[in-house]
Amino acid sequence: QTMGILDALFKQGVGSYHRNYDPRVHGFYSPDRNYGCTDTRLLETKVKDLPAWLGRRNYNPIAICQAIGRAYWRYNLRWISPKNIGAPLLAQACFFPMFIWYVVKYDEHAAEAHSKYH
Amino acid sequence: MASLASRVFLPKQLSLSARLLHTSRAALAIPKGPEREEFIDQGSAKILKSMEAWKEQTKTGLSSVTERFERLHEIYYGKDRDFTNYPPVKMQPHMPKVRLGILPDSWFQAFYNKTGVLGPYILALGVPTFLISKEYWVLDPEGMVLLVSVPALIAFVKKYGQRIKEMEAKKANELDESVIVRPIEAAKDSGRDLVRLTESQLQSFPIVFEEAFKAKREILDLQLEEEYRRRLAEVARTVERRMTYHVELAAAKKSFQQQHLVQWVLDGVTKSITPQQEKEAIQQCIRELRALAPKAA
Repeated sequence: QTMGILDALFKQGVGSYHRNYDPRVHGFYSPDRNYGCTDTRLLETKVKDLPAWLGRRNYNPIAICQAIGRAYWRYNLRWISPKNIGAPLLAQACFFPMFIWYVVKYDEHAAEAHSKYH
Repeated sequence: MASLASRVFLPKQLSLSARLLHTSRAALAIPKGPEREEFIDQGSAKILKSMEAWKEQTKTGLSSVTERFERLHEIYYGKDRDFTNYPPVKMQPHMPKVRLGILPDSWFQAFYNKTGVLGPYILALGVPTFLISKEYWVLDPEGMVLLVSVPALIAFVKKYGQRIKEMEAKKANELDESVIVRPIEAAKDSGRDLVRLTESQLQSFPIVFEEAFKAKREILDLQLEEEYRRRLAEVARTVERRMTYHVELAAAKKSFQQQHLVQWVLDGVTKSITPQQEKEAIQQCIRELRALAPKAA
């Protein structure tokens, strides 16, 4: 039997808390944590364990979207939700997209330097 | 840029008009005659009953809060709770620390043990110079814009960061006040107003008005009685004073008369004694003494 889109989403855990989440163990739910992962963090793994670590990851596209959502919540809860925030937020919103966009579109605008006729 | 103050649970405000209507309707029809006393007792009993019911209502509200707290405390802070890996998260009131107005401080702290304080700065300057010099990164107009705008952004943040922070803090405080502080103050004020209004309304209810009238008349009667008794006492005192005056006056007169008379008589007698009578009286006394002397010896 083929799986519908909703079935695939529900199987991955979309639309509800993670199936491992238990308030008695984990406490209040925070959307910036992965409750299904008991692995070491990326910055704490040794370099020789990296390939094995990468093999254990979940490359389901739905899981990638969930990870992006968690990253957004991590940024939000640290930089936007507090009571007193200020200019760094504005500057970050200007600087990082600028830098990233420059790198991503490098090939498109790099031609200007090499070309003879602009 | 929103705070989590919008998720706060608010208290209900009291409705004045409903309470006043309820109490006023109960007090309008008062029978006269023998049923009056009973009706008044019943009315007060009804008011007391409604007050008890209101107390019960508020009590159940409080008990549900405590029940909820106990239930949730058992869930979130029970035996199975893993505090090392999943500690309780608190909302920080401020942003994390920031270097140069853009980059978080934690990135710099990661380098501190290996390279010291200047590590990340040298990295930030050295890597672009290396890439540019080796022509891995070809500088085009876009690149020049980047190289110039980054210091400009940092300067902007350094200059106007404090001002923006103050503005945002003011906005956050405004939100907090409008959602938490002012509704609670309004509820308190409405409660105080209700108390004041009911007190003033009670004075105008018919039962209370009549009973208060009776009580005031009693008070006046008592005051009049007090004045009457005071005046009686004063009358008695003055009468007694005047009577004693007359009594003492008469006694004084009488004693004076007596004394005067006695003195007058004595003076008359002493004056009437002639020298011959005196001589004869002395000789008679000597003769009697001589006669008595042998008997004494």
